[in-house]
Amino acid sequence: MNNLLSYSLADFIPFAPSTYTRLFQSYHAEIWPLWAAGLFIGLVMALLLARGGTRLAAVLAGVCWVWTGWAFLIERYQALNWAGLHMGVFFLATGVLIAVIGFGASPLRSKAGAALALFATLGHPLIVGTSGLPWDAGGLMGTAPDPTALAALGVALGTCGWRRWAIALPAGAWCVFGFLTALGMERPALGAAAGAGAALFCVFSVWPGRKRGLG
Amino acid sequence: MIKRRQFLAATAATAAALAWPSAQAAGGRIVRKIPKTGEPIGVIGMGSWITFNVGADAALRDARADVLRAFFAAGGGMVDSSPMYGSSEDVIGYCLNRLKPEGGLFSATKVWTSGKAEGREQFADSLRLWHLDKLDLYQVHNLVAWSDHLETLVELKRQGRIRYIGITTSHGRSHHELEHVIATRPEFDFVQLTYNPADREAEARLLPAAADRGLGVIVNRPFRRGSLTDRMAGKPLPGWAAEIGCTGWPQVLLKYAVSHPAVTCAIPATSQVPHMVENMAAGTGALPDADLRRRIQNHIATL
Repeated sequence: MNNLLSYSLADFIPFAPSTYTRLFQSYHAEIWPLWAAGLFIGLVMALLLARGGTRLAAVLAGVCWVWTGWAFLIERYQALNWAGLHMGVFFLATGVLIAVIGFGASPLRSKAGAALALFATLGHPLIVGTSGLPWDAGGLMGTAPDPTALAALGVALGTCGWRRWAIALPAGAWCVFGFLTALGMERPALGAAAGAGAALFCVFSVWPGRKRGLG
Repeated sequence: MIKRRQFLAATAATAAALAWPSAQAAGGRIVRKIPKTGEPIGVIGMGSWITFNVGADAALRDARADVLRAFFAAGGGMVDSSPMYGSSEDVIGYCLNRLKPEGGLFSATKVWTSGKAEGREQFADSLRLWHLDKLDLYQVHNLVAWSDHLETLVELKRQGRIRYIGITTSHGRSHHELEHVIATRPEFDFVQLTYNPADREAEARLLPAAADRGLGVIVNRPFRRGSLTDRMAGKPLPGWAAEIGCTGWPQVLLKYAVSHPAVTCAIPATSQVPHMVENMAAGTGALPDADLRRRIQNHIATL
């Protein structure tokens, strides 16, 4: 354990930041117009969560997780990181989990959930873009891991009880991982939305207003 | 804390080895002899951690081919990689296929898995990725399951599929275990470890032990993954840098690493041709003597 702790975050990242951001850009060029469809799905999810359409939002989130796990993590990211295959399998399994658990949830209107889905869809590329990187350099909602995981936290807020935490734990864990990866690459903007989103989820989950439909 | 006996042993080994001037190859390139065979090798090799892990990106692959071309043009030999480095082996193979270097390459990669059977598969994968039918140096990465892999490596060497066997560590880890391994297993020809003016743990025991056992020593992380060069960026070079022909801090760090008499070569990694040219220039001209090495250490400690 001491041996493990002696590594820095950067020691776990086997690629250069520029290689990582270029991977997203070439991926987007290859899958056009699917990345635009992913952004549209993010907006639809926000609308659904605001109106109590958690079930459909969860299914859409699940589809996005499965796509991201297969098309990005396994098919592309794995070339840069040997752990990409494991991450991809995690996304495939979690996508199914989110769809099944969310579809069985009692509908709950969640403005906070809608806000997180919106933040994942628009806030993430905005933060990346204003940092000086290309706006899509950190991936996009629906087709890339960090914003897709962040939007799933919004879905979690549209559920309650054990279902909320069953969705939030894997999604939140990935957001924290994405945030740490960005720090390790010394490109904090790439993980800022994921990190802030995970923190916001915690705030919204304990916010007293949730009983009035905020959370 | 270094004990007196260890210090004396290290000093004696250093002094003895300083008595062996490095040979100069054509073009003033400094070469060292691999201790077990006497085969000459340039003191500056090339690592590939991060820098050659560019996946399928065609533009970056071609850019790395340019880096490797500059390396060979300057007389470079050792290219080091590992299955742990993502697509690095694949990209190196792509570059070698494009460049088709004649005779200069000294291929070095690693086995990085806990299973013996998987280790054999990894060797076959490496040959395929590098587009080679044999490797010059095959190393156990970070001591992972080294006792399981050693039998395989010895067999591969007997078959002529590899020429040398090595074992690696980095970040100053597992030095005690590594010292025990090289002291008890004569099958190893090379040891790879981290050594730079800020990471000098190897001086106390490992470097003297390697010299004592006749092992070649490969230095990784000579720039501490860029943190030392970043720290020194913009700081003026002291006057003594010119005495050893250095025009930049990376060259000072490389000359420091390879001037330890037990060291065979260093393997800095870069993704840029100008940096490769600068690195390779560190493998020419004069090396710091013991006094200048101390001054380098002291100066860098103050930055």
